Amino acid sequence: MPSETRTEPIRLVFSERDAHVVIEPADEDRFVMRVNEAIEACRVYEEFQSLFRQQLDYLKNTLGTWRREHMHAIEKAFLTLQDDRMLFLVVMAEKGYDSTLEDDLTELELRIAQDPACSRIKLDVQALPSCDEHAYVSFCNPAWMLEYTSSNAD
Amino acid sequence: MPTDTNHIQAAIHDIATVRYLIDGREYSDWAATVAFYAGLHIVDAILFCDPQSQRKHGGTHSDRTDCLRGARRYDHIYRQYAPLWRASKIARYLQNAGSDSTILFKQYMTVEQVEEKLVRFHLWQLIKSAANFLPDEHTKRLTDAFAGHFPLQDRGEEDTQANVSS
Repeated sequence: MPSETRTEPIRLVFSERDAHVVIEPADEDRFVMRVNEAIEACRVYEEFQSLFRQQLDYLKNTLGTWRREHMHAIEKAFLTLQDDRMLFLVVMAEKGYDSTLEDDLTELELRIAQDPACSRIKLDVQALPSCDEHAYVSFCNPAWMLEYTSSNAD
Repeated sequence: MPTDTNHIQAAIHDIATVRYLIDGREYSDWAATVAFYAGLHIVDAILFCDPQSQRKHGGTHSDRTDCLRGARRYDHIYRQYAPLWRASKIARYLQNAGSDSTILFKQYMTVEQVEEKLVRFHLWQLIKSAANFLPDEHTKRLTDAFAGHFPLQDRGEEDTQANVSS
């Protein structure tokens, strides 16, 4: 049922640790747990966020280095989201198939997939032939799209 | 759910279809796409037959790639599968600005390149690597079918059944 926007925070305090909390997200799923379990869930979430941030920074640097090493063959490079995973999207400088670039992308993909420092991240890679913005943006999620440029590639 | 035999049969059907599309000279995009699906069925047969596989069925594209990339013993399989997968995505999804028409895939890969790079190299390497995971009867059916449509002597190799599983 819709309610007015609450200005006061909803407090869950440890002294009421055995009380039940019912959480109803937008998809009408329902989570029922005790207050002490909600506190533990918050801790796990914070740890996950922190770990994910660390891994994302590491990934961004790894991809930046790879992009720098392949600048001769690449016009643009993006890190974005596609479906339930991240996508490293490369727009080639040329329109024709480049088997060396394809092989290098596969090695990059395998290296990241097997790197414990990226254990929380699922990454796909895709090279596109030289094309216009409309074409490559259709492979990206505009809501989360990082373009590698000379200034941020490091 | 399909079995290993079903997947091998589907892969053989796809290999024949790739030959048909290449001979038609017109549709390199669909030749690349069907070559990918031949590879997909070979991968699914591997997952079905390999007792160490975490999955018995490929599932979604994401499930399948996660499974292949996550285990080093599949590295060589993935090295052949990944270029097929990526080429098929370009063939199916890359669109021109405004016009909503698919970018002419043959500017990216000619029919000759699809045959040489995707089929005679990556798909054949995939079949050879699959021999490490598949029963001999499946390997023989796949190699015979492949050789029937893409004769071995044309590839400038001396691959034989004897060294297929090396």
